[in-house]
Amino acid sequence: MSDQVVIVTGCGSGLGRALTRALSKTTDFRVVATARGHSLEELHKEFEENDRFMIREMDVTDLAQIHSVINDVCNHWGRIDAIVNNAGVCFRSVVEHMDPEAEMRQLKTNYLGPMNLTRAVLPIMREQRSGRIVNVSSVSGMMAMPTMASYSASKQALEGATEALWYETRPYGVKVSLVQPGFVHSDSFRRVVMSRKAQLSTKLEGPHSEYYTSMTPFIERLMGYSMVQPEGIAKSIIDIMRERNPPLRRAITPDAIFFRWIRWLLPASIFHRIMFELLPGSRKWGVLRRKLDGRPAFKPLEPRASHALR
Amino acid sequence: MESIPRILVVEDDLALKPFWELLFRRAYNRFRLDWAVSGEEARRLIAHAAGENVSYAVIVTDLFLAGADTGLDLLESDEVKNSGAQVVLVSSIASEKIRSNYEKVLADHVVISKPLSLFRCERLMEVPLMRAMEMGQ
Repeated sequence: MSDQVVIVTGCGSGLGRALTRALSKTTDFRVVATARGHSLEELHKEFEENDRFMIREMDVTDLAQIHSVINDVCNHWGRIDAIVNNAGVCFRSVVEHMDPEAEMRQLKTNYLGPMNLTRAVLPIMREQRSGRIVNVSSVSGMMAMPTMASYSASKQALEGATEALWYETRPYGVKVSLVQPGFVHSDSFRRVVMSRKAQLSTKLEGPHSEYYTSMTPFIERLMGYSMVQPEGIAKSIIDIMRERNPPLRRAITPDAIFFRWIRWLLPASIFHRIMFELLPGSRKWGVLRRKLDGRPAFKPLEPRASHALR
Repeated sequence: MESIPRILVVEDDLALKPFWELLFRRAYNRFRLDWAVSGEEARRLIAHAAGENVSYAVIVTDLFLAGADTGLDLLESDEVKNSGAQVVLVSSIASEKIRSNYEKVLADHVVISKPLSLFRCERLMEVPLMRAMEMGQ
């Protein structure tokens, strides 16, 4: 098929930007590069809008912006053949340092946003009897690591929903895929968000700070060693969009392929124990908390003693 | 009529409730203790108390709370700044370390490190507890 209209989210940086660059050089895709408002200027500097390329503001957590872009694209090009749900945010915080607001931001961007865009394009694709939905997951979609709970939860939610969608859209010719990159050698992949409590704990070497001081350099080291560049992942995504029968899941970096196999081969209980032993500093996890958590020695009051004494 | 000191403890570890009750019971004959687990909830209680002209005399807050705010965010909030309350920050982190990083914010406040002991808390909180009593009279 020629001239597929593809909408890519999160084109402001990293993989989104690399994918936009790669798509803009193809002859079989018309591209809608979307990003949040603050990244648009950068996008306009690098790319020129023409009859094959448009740049639009879209925050995937904003339903009105999604519908506005869909309307705009349909008015211009009359169809939508593919979407790449790439926009994402990565919180690095232990569970105790997250808060409802941060959890919602994580879920809205990585899971609820892609679902919003998917729901918006599905009626169009169903009517066309064709379409491609590519959701960018992660190794965190198949396994979780300490300090990445919310990120993993959001990617695993995305994986679950995508798997269900694969069944639901198959009768209509809409092909759904998940790509699972692992560690990528790119500064933008190092950009993580720490909750306020995580920042404070790191600064003051407070409770759970040993998780950050062991995991953060470890993850950054692995990213540094990785030979995979965002451009390589972008190429894999384009290949998937061109495949006649793309797979539901595709691990696209060596570490992602490795973990996929390990998870398949090892029983979960053994896998988790091995991972715990292998993760750096794991022997020291919790030591600080236990040391800091000493309780005052006193007998609790009777249950009837109210806390509001008069 | 004797006024009853009103105290707010902001702490997400409810196991510490008996400790604070015991401490304030030893300090005051009569008092009213309110409990909040998050900075957001504490700010609401402080604003509500101020609206009723029964402001808190003492606010004790942990550093790490439920919700998005930390104890430091609470200390810097308008509600606490305008309350005129004696403020005590409690944390599992060494008080010197917190002070050295947040010297300005904590200049007028007592900082107590966990684990808590009744004797140490009474000693460190002597001045704020007395001031709170004087304010109430």
